[in-house]
This record gives sequence, structure tokens and C-alpha cells, in this order.
Amino acid sequence: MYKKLTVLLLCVALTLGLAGAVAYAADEPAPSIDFEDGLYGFVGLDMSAGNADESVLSVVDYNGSKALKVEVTKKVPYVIFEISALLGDDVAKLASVTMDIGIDTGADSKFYACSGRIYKYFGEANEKAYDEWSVYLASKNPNVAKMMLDEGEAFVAGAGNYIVVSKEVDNYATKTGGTPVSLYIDNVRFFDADGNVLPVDTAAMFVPRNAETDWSNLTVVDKEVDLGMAGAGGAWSQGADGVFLNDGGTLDPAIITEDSIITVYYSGGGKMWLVGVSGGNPNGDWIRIAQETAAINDSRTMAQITGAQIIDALGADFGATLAKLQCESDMDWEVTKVTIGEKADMLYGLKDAVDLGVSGAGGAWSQGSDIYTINEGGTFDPALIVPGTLFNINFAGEGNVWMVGVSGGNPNGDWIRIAQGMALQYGSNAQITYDQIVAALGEDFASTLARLQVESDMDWEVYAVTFGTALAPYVEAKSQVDLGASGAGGAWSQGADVNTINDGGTFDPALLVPGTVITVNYSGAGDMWLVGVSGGNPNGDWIRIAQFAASKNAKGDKVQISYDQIVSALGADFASTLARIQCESDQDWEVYSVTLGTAAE
Amino acid sequence: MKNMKQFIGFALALVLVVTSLGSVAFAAEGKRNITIGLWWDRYYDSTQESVEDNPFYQGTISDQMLFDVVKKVEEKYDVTIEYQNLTYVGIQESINTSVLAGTPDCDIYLVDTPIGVPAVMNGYAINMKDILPADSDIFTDHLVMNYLDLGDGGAYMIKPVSGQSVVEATYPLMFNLQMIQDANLEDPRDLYAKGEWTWDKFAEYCQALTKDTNGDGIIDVYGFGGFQQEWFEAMLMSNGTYVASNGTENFSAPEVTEVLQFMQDMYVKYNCAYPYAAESASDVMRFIYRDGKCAFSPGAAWVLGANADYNWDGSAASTLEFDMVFVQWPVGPSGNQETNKMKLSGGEFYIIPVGVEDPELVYNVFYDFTNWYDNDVSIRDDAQTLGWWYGVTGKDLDIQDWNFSVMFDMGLREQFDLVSSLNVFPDFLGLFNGDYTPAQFQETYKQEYQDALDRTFK
Repeated sequence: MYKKLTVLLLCVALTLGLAGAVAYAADEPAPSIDFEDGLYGFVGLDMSAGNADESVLSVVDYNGSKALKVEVTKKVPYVIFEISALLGDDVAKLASVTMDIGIDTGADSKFYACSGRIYKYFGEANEKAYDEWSVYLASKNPNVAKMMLDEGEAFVAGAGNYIVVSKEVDNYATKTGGTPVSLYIDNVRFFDADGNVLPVDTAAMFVPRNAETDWSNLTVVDKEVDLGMAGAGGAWSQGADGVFLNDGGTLDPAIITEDSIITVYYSGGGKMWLVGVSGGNPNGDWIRIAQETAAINDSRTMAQITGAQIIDALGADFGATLAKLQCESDMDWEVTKVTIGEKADMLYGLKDAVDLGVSGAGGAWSQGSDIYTINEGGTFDPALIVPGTLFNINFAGEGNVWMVGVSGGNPNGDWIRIAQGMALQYGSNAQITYDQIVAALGEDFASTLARLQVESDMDWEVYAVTFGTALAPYVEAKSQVDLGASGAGGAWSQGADVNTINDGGTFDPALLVPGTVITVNYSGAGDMWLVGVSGGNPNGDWIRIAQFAASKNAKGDKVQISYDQIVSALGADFASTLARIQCESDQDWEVYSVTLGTAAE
Repeated sequence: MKNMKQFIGFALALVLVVTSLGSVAFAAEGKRNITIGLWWDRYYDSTQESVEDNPFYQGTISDQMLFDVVKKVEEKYDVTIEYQNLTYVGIQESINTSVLAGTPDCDIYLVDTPIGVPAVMNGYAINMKDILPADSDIFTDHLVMNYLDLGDGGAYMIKPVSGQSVVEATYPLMFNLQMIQDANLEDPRDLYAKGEWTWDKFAEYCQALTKDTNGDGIIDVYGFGGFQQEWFEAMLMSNGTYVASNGTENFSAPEVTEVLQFMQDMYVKYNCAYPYAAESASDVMRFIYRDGKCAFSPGAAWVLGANADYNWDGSAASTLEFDMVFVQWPVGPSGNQETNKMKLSGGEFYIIPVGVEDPELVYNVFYDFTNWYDNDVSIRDDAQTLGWWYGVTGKDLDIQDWNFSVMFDMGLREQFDLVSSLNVFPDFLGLFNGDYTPAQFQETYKQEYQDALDRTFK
């Protein structure tokens, strides 16, 4: 009896299991991408956002099959799917995308909900919109994320459209301060409008986005406005005309002021300048502007002509007669864009930066991303806001960003805007300094400050607010000369020596004068600074210079030590006793070059 | 032995079947776990074992009471309570999928109006009037619990009451008490108490208080001055109307025409409103009262606190010489003093989703859980916490108490209206200058409101 019952029950179990599998298989069409072939060259990282994470991508076993693993190191992962390459011309048929998204548990083996977005870059101009996803329960991990094109949105073949998957809320990281959990993506389906799954070529490759512009020799500009000038021509020909109102065009010469900076984005390898064509300009109706003096970057892809140079060439009253501006080069050229802007604020670097754990979004003139102080039950001690410190707001939005101080009993007022329209702001970062806080709230703000909020005059989203000690902003030095040093070492070891003439070397320390800077080009996870080794320096014969205080570039592979920092460490008379300069870091390091240059403005 | 083997095989197969069925029919031993879905980490619930498990613990009586109430509720209802941080996006997805499927992931959800109102409109929230007796606190005294009246007769979005959550974001009408007294006018508070504080009376007062004080032919003091946003919001509510409370714009309604006409009349017909600033209106118009240049103005605790008008903690050098007193807004021709709403809703609400087991139990658990202060509002509405709300609006204690009472009264009467949250910016300066008739104004902007609502309730 038991035997028959056992067989019967086993059959029932088998049937139920098969039925479940068949039901599942019948409901879901085969995915466009399931990563079973191990290919993932069509994905990459979007590093353009200020809070972008340098995640590690790989294909691993997950949930019973292969999946794309996004191992997050610290911040927000933005994973690009190169749909234009994957789908080819079929990208124009793409109407929606689904994918399974799973998340790891925290380091404590507990489940913490996460959420993020699928950004869609569509149309001829890669307009941006997004849909949201979440994995909010352990029992629904992985969960299905969906992106749909809304009315008026369409992908265009050949336009380089793409989608980006991000993880922007990580409850584990928020609650514990630990490393954000990893993300898994599997079973990606690209649907057309009829619900048919579109096939893809998984051999397609991700196209790296150039996140860093070559600003060498140029002035970093902000608030650029495209003048609508573009074109191509042979050497010494003019084109890419910008036509002004005087000539029936749309450009108003009044937008060009002395402080304006016109940036020409071009290719061709030659120099680039402008030509002013006028009607009745007493200086002449065809005048080259900054032919030899336009600033050009090392890669010869950008040139800058200032409003002052235009005025100098065409005269102060150029606006009355200017008909057009043209581009010209000494080699064949193509101009893709010409903008007018202003000199960007130089942001400070931050030392000992602490992420205050706030984020948020709001409409224009609303406040949010509150930082509560210990005066109002929060955790931030306003007494830490001292001279030399600042807040850095990493955000998205088109407007000016500032802070609001909310206090309880501040004699200057309990609701005060701080640095409205005056914050240092460039790209996706705005900075409010101690001095600006004092100017708004008064010197004794710390005892009454209840919270700080972020506000903007346009819709805004804050990704993070960090607080720390300001470091001088990194600006690539001019006229850099390689001092011939390189090397590698472990943490806290010194090397990549630059030997001076005082020690049988070739470098003359007398060349270190006010306005000069030493730039160290390196790799390594830590900070980088110098060590001055001397013979008879009254300050000491082995002294660290700018330890943890050197300006660092955004990429983290260059630091700059100024003359003032050298003097501060070694004394003003260092040159007579300095034997050599060494590099040192708090982590394993490799130095590729050490240069001497002139500090840029 | 053979029979034993057969029995074991049978037992194993039985386990396999039960597992395959996927609905392990074990009896739910232990307590029901009431889950509260939200989008941040909140304390305390049944998962904390110590009062110090809260990283924000400060050793206050409130902290201890918040911790202790968990055990009390567990024992009273034989349940456990668990907060589940689903993320903001997760809350939306959970409501839109699990509630739609009839198996809500959580027993109660924290929502804001952008999540809660669509959930109500989609039929995902339980109407408290269907499960609670009519004399429940939520419908009567509002000691512990209130709800957002969406104008549909239901009570879907419930809101725990606390002093601060009630008074915050209220914009009473405030008046310069000395100007009223010097003009020998009856106190507007008395008029309101008698039911005589109407638009007509308000306009009459504003005209009477508009003066050329030095006889140079130029008006020095206006009856009214204020920023259009909160003025428009208040006037809508005072006339019993709204602009954007559901998927259909109400900007084109005749009651809104009345509002716009009144606001324009204050400028064009009566010339009793302070000239409207063309630039930085929000910064300029809100603080006209400070120089004694207007008698009435939209008020708020933060407005009076922005410049420490009344030096509430004694640290400022001076205070305003006159008193600004709060009063409810006058009642419009289409309004009703008893039913008018007085505060645009905001903040947090909760919904009990359709499909939850025993929703009355869920509500009662939540009610007692929320009532951690055991009906002693002096603990909940801590004097030190609320001291700012009292002190910032006046230097006289009686006026402080009065102003707080007006804010509290107004704060209990919430109106859901997205009028100022849709990124629609009508040209009120043009309206005040007479560039539009109210009808033209409505015609110009009604579609913008509708488009914004379509996007919001997509």
C-alpha cells in the first residue's frame, strides 16, 4: 500500500513541478539577453554624474543562471546598455524594456530594499527621461524592472541612443554606512510596440563616453550657450557662420561682453580663430580675431577667444556693424559647436570629506535634503563648521543652488538663505563656504542652527552633500617640464626621486619660485605628497610637504604641490640645502612623472 | 523493516508534494505580524530589543514611551509590529502591484499625497468610514488621529495628530493690531467669531486702512500686501474651492472666477493692495508688513521668524513695535465658515490597503501604537519643541497663545490641492495690473493645469 501511495505522490510532485516550469516558460518569451554566452561587452559605466561609481562589471552565476553582476564600490552605479549597437536599426522599433534586477543582502546577511532608475536617452539629441525600479521585499528579489517609452518619445537609428540602469537608493548603505550592495541584471527583453521581443547582437561593444574634457591651456567655462555655428572647410577657408541681427540673423551682438568666452569645438589638428565680418566697421569689415593668440588645448579640439579679444580686434562699438563671425584654421577643419559662456567657478577640493547622508529632490524654490544638527535631534555638530570648511552639494538641476539655514533663536533670523546665487557652482557641484555661512547667519550661528537645507531657483535633485576642509582647486599647470622622475613603492615608502644639483643631480631648486607648482602624475588608491630631503636645512632634513593637502584632480591621478606649500614646510631658504624631492603616499603607489610648471589662473 | 522503508518513502514523498504545492499549509503558530511599509528607517517596532537600538536615542521620556508602547500593543492585540523600509519607489510599486493583485505586501502603508491620492482614486485604500464606528476619534475629536478629506465623503488617508504636524505650513491672515485699534475698527477675530468675517468686510477694512498718512497725495499704507502664492491658496479655500484636487482642473470653475475677481479688485477697483513687486516678489511681498506699510498680510510662523520679528528667546536687539495677530481668512460668497478648509495638505498619511486581513484590527493596532503618549498631548506636543511655534509669532504671551490656536484650528482643516505643486506659474502680476479679466486669465492657464494633472495622475 505504501509503495503505491509513494509512487502516486511522487507522480503528483513531479507533475506539479513540471506544470510550474511549463507555466513559467509559457508566460515569458525568451529574453533578448540572458548572459548565458558570457558576453557583456555591450555594457559599460556612465561616469558623467558627480556621484557615479566605478563599479566592477562581470558575468556570474546568479539565481540559477548567468547574470550581469554590478559590484558597487562606493557610490551610485550607472550602467549603460548600448542599445543602438545591440539592436542596430531595430532600435527604432524599441518600445519597452524589461529586465530582472536582483540585489545582494547586506554584509549582515539581511535583506535591505533598493531602488533606482532606468534612464532612456532617446531622439536625435539624446533627450533624457527615466522610469523607476525597486527591489523592495526579500520575497521579490529579483524583481522585474520595466522601462517604457512615453508618448512623444522614440529611439532613433543611428543617433547613438542608449539606456542606463542605476541603483540610487541602497537601504543597507544608508543604514549601516557599509559598502552598497551589488546588483544583478538578467533576462533583458527588448519589446517592440506589439510586444514582440527584438533580437540583439550580443557581440556589440560599449562605446566609452569621454567624461573628462581637455581643458589644458583653456579657461573652464560654465553656462555655455550654443551659438548654432557648425561646419567644415579647407585650410584658410572660413565657415561655420554665426549670423547676427545686423545681417538678418538671430544672434544678438549684445551677448558678447568683455568677460565672455567663446569656445570653438573642432577637429583638424590646426590652430583655430575667428573672423569678424562687418558692414561699415571703421576698423575694417573683414578682420581675423585672435589668429595667433586664441587659447588652444593640447589635443587641438577646443579653442577659446574672449570678448576682450573681439573688442580689441573689432573695436568697442563692434555690435553696431557686426554681420557674422566665422571660423578659420590653418589646416582643414570641422567645427561641431561654438558656444559663448563665462569663466566657471573653480571648486575647491575636499579633504577629510564626510558624506552627510542626505539626498532628495524638489521643485523650484522648495527646500529639502535637510541636514539636522544636534540642536534639533540630528547628528551633525554645527561647531564643526569652522574657517576653511565647506559643504559640497552634488546635484542635478539647471538653476542656482544654495543653502537655507533654519535656526531657533538666531538674532539674524530663523530662516535665512545662504549664498543665494553666490555659491561656487560648476557642473553638478555647488559649494558653500564657512565665510558664506557666517555672512548670512552671523558668527555665533552654531548654538542656534537647527538644520541646513538645499534650495534652488529651478527644479533640483541632490545626490549627496559632503562636508570637509577645503583644498585649493586643481588646475592643470602651464608649461610643464618633466623632471625625469618615476617609480613605484609601497604605502609610506618614498621614491621617484628628483635629485638636485646640491646632491649631484640635475634639477636646480632655485627654479622653484613663487607661482610654480610641482605636479605628480601617479596611480594608487591613496593621497600623494612630497618629501623634502635636505642637508643642513634648519627646519629639518626630512620633511613631508603638503601631506594630505595637495590639490588633486577630479580623476585622482594627479596632485599639485605649490611653491607656497614647499616654503611652508621647508622654509623660504630651502633651495640652498635641498638635496632631493621624493614622492610618498599612504597607499601603494606608482609615479609616472613629476613636472615643474607654472600655476594656471 | 520493509514496511518501515515503504513508510519512510511514503513520508518523504508526502513532504515533496506538500512542498511542490507551494502553499505550505502549516498553521500560523505565533502572532500576526502587522507590517507598516515606509521609506525610511523608523523606530521602534518588535524587532528592537533595547531602547538603545534606536541610533537617534536621546534618553528622553518620549523615547522610552515609544519603546514601551510596542510591548503594550503586542500584548493587547497578540500581534507583533514591524516597519518595512521598501524605499519610496518600492512603496509605489508595492501598492500598485500587490494591492492590485489582492494580496497586499503590507498591512498599512505610509504615503504622501502623490502616492496616496492616486491609490485612493484607484480604489486601493480602505475607507475608514466603512470599518470604524461613527464616534471614533478619527471622525470626532481628532485627539490621536485625523484624516484627509478629499471631498468624496470618504476617509481613506489617515494622519496621526501631533501639535507640530498640525500647525506647520499654515498661513493665517495676520493683521497689524495697532492699525485696527487706531482706526477704531472692530477686531476681525470678533467678527470671525460672530460669523461676520466675510470678503466684503475684509475689502471694506482694507480700503479703510489704506492711507496717505502725510498728505502728500501718495499712499503710504495699504490695507493689504502679500505674495500671490499663499494669498491665492488661502482665497481658494476661503471660497470653498480648489484648483487641482483630482485629475480634472478646477481652475476654470466659477468659484475660482470669484477668487480671481476679488484679488484683482483689491488692486484695480479698490487700490488697497500694496503695489506688486515685479522682481523677487516672494522676498519682497511677504515682508511688506514689517515696515508698517500694510495692515493685513498672509502670515506664517516662519515669516515672523525669518527676521526674528519678536525676538522670542531674547537674543535679538529689538522687536517690531506693533503686534501682528492671526485670524482665519474671511469667508467668500461660495464658502462656508463651518466647512471651509484652511490648510493645504502635506506631509505624511497612511492607508490601509484593500485586501488586508481584518483591517479594523490593523487600524486599532496602529491607533494604539500611534498613541504612545497615552492621550497625554503635553508629552506628545512637548513644550520645548513647540516653544518656537508659540514664541516666534508675538512678544505678548496672550497673542502667542492666540496665534497658535488659530494655526491649530486651521491645521485641522486640510485641503488636498496641488495648485502650487504643478510648476504652473500664472501671470498674477498681469492680473493685478488688469492685463487680463479673470475669465481671460482662466482661459489662458486652465490647459496648463490640466496637462500638469494628466502628467501627475498618469
